[in-house]
Parts: sequence; structure tokens; C-alpha cells
Amino acid sequence: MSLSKKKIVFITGFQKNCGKTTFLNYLLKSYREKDKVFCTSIGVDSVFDDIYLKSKPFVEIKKGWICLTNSVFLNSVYDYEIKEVIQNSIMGGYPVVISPKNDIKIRLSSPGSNQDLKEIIEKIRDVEYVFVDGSVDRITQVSIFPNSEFYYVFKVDYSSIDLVWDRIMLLELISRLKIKESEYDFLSSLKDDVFIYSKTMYIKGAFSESKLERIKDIKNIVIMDFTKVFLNYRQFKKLVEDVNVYFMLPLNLNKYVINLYDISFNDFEKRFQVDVRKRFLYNPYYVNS
Amino acid sequence: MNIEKFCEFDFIKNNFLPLTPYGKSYKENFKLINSKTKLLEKYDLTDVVLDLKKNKPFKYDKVKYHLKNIPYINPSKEPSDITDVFIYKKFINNYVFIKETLGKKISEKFGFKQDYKEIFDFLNCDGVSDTFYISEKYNPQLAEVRKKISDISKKIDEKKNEFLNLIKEKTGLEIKNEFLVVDNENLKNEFQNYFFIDVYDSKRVLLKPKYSNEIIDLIRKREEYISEEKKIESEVVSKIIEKLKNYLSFISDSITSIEKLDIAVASAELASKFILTRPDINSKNIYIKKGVFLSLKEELSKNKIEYTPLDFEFTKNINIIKGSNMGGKTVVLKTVVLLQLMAQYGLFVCAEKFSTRLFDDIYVLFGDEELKGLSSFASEIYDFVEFYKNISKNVLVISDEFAKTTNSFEASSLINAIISDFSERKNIYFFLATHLENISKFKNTDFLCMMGFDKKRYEKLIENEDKNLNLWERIRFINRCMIYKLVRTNDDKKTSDALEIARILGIDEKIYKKAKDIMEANYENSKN
Repeated sequence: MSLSKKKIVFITGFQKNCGKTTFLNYLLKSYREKDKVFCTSIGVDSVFDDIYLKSKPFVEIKKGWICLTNSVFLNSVYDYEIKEVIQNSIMGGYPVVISPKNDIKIRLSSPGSNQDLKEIIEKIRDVEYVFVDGSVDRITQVSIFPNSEFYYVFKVDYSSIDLVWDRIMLLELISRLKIKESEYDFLSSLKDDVFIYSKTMYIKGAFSESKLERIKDIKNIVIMDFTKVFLNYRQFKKLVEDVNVYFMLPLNLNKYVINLYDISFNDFEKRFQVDVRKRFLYNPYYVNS
Repeated sequence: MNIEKFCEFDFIKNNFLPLTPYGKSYKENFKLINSKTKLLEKYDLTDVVLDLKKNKPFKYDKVKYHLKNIPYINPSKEPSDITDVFIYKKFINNYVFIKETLGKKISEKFGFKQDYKEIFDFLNCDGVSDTFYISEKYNPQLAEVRKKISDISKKIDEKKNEFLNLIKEKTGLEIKNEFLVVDNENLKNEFQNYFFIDVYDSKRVLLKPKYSNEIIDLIRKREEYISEEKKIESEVVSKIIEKLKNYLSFISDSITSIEKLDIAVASAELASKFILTRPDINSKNIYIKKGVFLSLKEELSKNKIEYTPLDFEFTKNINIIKGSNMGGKTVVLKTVVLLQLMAQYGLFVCAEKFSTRLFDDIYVLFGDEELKGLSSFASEIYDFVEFYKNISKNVLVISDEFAKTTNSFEASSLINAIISDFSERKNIYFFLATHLENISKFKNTDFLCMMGFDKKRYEKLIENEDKNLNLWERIRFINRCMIYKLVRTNDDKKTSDALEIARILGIDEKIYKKAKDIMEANYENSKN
């Protein structure tokens, strides 16, 4: 099955322990044994240590599904078929694709780089649904799968609420901007990070604060990768008001998964407009009765 | 200077695409081969693959498919765990399929002699596949213990479901997952009978089902079975590993065969893509018919500029090449180096015919780029000094405008001295492109010249030409006026097209005219 026919879902978030894997387990509950599911992880595995290993949560994989783990995690499972071994040493072992003959709980692993992720998703056949337990940093990997969708998981408490608000508003703004896929090849072929032609600025690399100083006579900005916008919401909003901003690839937001700690729904919701709130999915394990 | 950099070998490398980890490693470490036998073997193997590609395309595609699936094995490291077993199995399976697909006659040309039948059958006891599963056929006890685990798991699920239904009945809470979060205010006393209760935050608690001792005992029992199962699995893996260790020397030889085939396939693909030909390495002279400097040809083609291939036979050891700016001297040097390098890397070459001899080394005198801080001249001389220390080898030496940064009088004296020295040696094949005048004709030396700028054609074309051309349009214009043909001149021919070239490239007309006047005055003075 080609990449385009696989439904790829990323579960991502910028905070550690914000509940990504817990949410993945919640999502997986609704899939049956006969569904062709492949689960993998991407991101932080390269910065591995014992503490990280012990804190990495288990994912529930049903009999016959496929998952990507690491050879160092294989001691927790039995009776499985090895489908592939990726020969990049990570965490002192190799990323291994297995299919268990029973329902199991296992730690997922990253195959390596985003490119490795793309290759392994392309390579694994007979899969309809791909779930990627995402990185804690950015949503970079989403951009390499143009048709993917993602859930963004937030852990919200009083210390993080302003940061969460900023991130949600920035993502909302990005997801509503116009897409210019027609210039993708041109932008990809650029050697430099920034290219200015007439009144249009093409940005291939990171869009950080330093580039704001260079846009005096610019009317249009075409940004290759929305994941490389390193501005806060207010900076980006001002930019969008001043010039026409376009992206190459769409940002297919599904839901913001909100795990509230010590904050009431009302306190959180009142900060957002109704159309943004529609995307909120509060802690799915919460029972309000 | 790095020889690959000089002839832009990266263009070839980027189109030379081995499929296995061994081929990919070979690609990163191309070495100059000076053994005729080894080179002829490589050319023969490329021909074998080209023949297969042409006459048996289905088999050829199958071979490529299996090559792509060959994993990396370090033959000096023994297999040690289940992932190694998977990798060895995958290697052996694909090796066997390639050998079968090629057939006895062709596979033996690449050294596919190892017989893996016994271990192949052993590893594929459940049916042939590239995956690995610890089959119950390796140990019948596995079947028994796996059944026990399956039965007890069903029982645990039944009991858990019964308990979760009871919770729903008694508390109204439906647990679809492992836990629930409820508000403190909704917490009821009877929850303690069914849940472990933990703090979630200041307003909520976490509820986890409190399973009965019966369920916990069943879970413990299952853990015991799983331990037993894992113990048997571990014994099976050890047994397989011991068997695999008997094949380590086979594996090592098989890697050599796989690498040979992979390189031949990549070479054949390259040859097909760019219509390359097999070089002849038994010649005394270097003979080139329709030689092409590929990266330039591709670049020109993109800009719709015609490329002129190189046709020439170099009959002397010392070749002095002169000609106009942009007349193609450097391209001649690069073409010679590229063809020679490809031939001695065991590749087919970008020429309709290329006959040559083998060199122990190819050297480009260009100045050592690593020597930061030295002047260009000092760097060039240092490079030459280092080269001259090891001059005993049979070597092809290339120099593009040696000593161009010093005054022409001293530069030509130095070059004359070097040519004089080289002309007395039989082991040096020297190509020098230069603008310098007063180069003497020593023994075994040929003067060659690019035909260069066609002034008549230029004068005819320039009248009607738009003066606001961009760079590529100007280059295209020069191309139309330039004859990129190398000819033998028998003497040190003077060339003077630089001013016209500068004019086409857009130099200010006032400067052009002034320079022309000065040049003509100097010429008249020199006659007097």
C-alpha cells in the first residue's frame, strides 16, 4: 500500500510527560484486532538514558498489529514475528519492526531520523493506519507527510497556561493561511535559506525574529515549512497583518488534546474563542458525573 | 588538488547507485586500480549485467529487488541475538534468491558458490519469508506453553470483564480503558470497594480497578508461563545462532560476491543512463573519440547549448594545450582526467571510444587548498615539490595554468624547466593548459591548440545581436562563435581572443576600445 493510501496520525506536543502515549493508548482502544495498524514513535529516543528508558510508557498493541520498538525493549515481549530490523544503532540497540501473536504492551521506538520514519512507513506493507507517538519538540515530522493529520497534546497547569495559549493561537493562525503548493519545487531548489524576488520573500529555512528586520519592502512571504516558524503568536499575527503570508503545505490539525491540572474548564476555555474551542478534546479519561 | 574534485567526479558518483550496504561503502571509497586483470574483470562483469538487463529484464529486476533487501553483516562479529538471526536469515534468503535467479553460469562469474540449502531450510521451516518467527517447529514445548498462555489470557479477560460490568452496575462508571479521572466532589464511599484511588490534581482523583485475588493469581500464573515461554525462545535462538556460526566463512565470501554484483549493476545502470562504453586499456597512446565531460554536457543541455565532444589522439607524453579564454582547454583536461579516472575505477566511460594505458597515480598540480595563508604561487610550488618527491611512479600529471599568478617571463622559464625535466622521463604523461608564450619544444612534446574563437563568424553575428543579453545568453553567443576542437599545431601558437570574449561578456565598450588600442600599439612597438 502506498504512503498516500495510509492514514497517518501524529500525536505530538511540546512538553515532556504531557500525556501523548496515554492519548495514543486511548485512540488505539477504538481499533480492532483485524484493523491493519502500525505504531511507531519519533523524536527523543536518541537522547537516551536509563531514566528516560524507565519513564517511557508502554503502548498496547493488539495481536497481529505491527509496531516499531527497539531491540533493547524486546525482553518485555514474547511470541512475535520480526518483520524488519533498521540497521541504525539507537539507544544501544536497533529499531525493530515486530508483529506480536498476542496482545502486548511494549515501548515504542524511533526509527531514527524523519527520513527513516518516512522510509519505514513506506516499506511496511499491508497497513491502513499509522500512529506516530510524536516528538516533544516541534511538529517537524508532520511536514514530511503532507496528508497526515495530528493531535497536539497539552498538559495545562498554571505555570504553562500562557505558553499553551500562545502555541494554540499560533497553530490556529498557521492552519488558516493560504497554501501555495505550486511553488514547492521552486522553493525546494533554492540553495539559500532566504531568496527575495521583487516584493516577495521566499523562506526555505527557519523563520525567526532576526528575519523580521528584513521585510521592510516585502509584500508577500512564502514559507516552505510551517514547523520552522520560531515566532510567538503576537509576532506572527503582526506579520500576517502587514504582509501576505503563504505556506507550501497544509497543516491538518485534528484536535488539541487538553489535559488540565488544577485548572477548571471554565478558566481555560474563557481564554479562547468558540471556533478554537471546537478543536479541544479534554482528557478523554475524565468522567464528569 | 583532489583529483575527483578537479574532474567533478561527484556528478558520476551521484548517478552511481549501488543497492546494498557493501556497494554503498565501495562507492564512498573508490580506489584507482592499476591491475589490468582486475579492471578487465570489472568491465566483463558490467557487460554480463548489461546483457542480462537487455535480454532478461524480468530476471534483472528480480536481482535488483533482492539486492535492495540485502542487509549489512559485519563478518568479523558473531551473531548474538534474535535481531542478528533475522539479519542473517534475510541475507541468506536474498543471496539464495539472487543465485537462483542468475543461474549457475552467470552467478559463478560473481563467485556465488556457497551452498546454504541446509541453513536456508532450517531458517525457513514455516515457509519462505524475509521475516523471522520462533516457530514451534524448533521446539514442540513452545506450542504447549503458548496454548497455556492463550487459554489463561482468555480466562483473565473474562474475569476482568465480569468485574468491570459489576463496577458499572454498582457505581455507574464505565471503564473502557485502564483508569478514570473523576472530580473530588463526585467521589463516593463505595468506590473504595472497586477502585484504587489516587490523587490526580487538587480537584480530581484517579480511579484504577481493584481486581480480585483470583484475577491477580491468574495474572501471576500467566507471568510464569510467559517466563517459561521466553526461556524456551531463548534456547531456540541460541541453537540457531550456533548453527549460523558454522556459516561465517561462507558469509564473508558471499559478501564479496554480493558486492561484485552490486557494483556491476550500478555500473551497468550508469552505462545505460549515459550511454557509456567499455574502455580499452591496452593502448600506448590516449585516444578519445567523442569524449564527453558529462556534468558540463548536462548543464549546457539544460540551457539548450550544444556540447562539442572531444576527438583526439595524444601521441606524445608531454602535451601543451593553448587557446582562447573560454575556448575549452580546461574542459579538455577535465575530460581526459574523468575518462582515465572512470576507466581506472572499473567503470565504463563517457566516450564513443577511449583507449588508454594504466597509471599508478593521477596528479593535478593546482596548489594545495589546505595551505591557507600561502600565496597561490607558493601553494602551487609546494604542491609541485611534494609531487616531485615521489616521481618514480607511472603517473598522469595535469596542470591547468601552472604559475599563472607570477610574471609571465619567470613563469614560462619555470615551465620550460619542468617540461625539459619531464620530457627526459618515460613514466610521466603530462598535460599542461597555458596562456604563457615562449614555451620551448622539447623531446616527446606536442603543441596542441583549441581552435577557439571564429572571428569571421563573430563579426557576422554581432551586428544583429541585442546588446542587453543576460549571462547565459552571452555564453550561448560565445558558444556560437567558438570552435571547441583540439588540433595539433607543431609550434607555440599565439592566441589573442581575450578582448573579444570580454566584450561579449559585457565589459564597458570604452574600456574594450582602449584596451584594443593599447594592444595594437604594443604589437607595433614589438615589431620595431
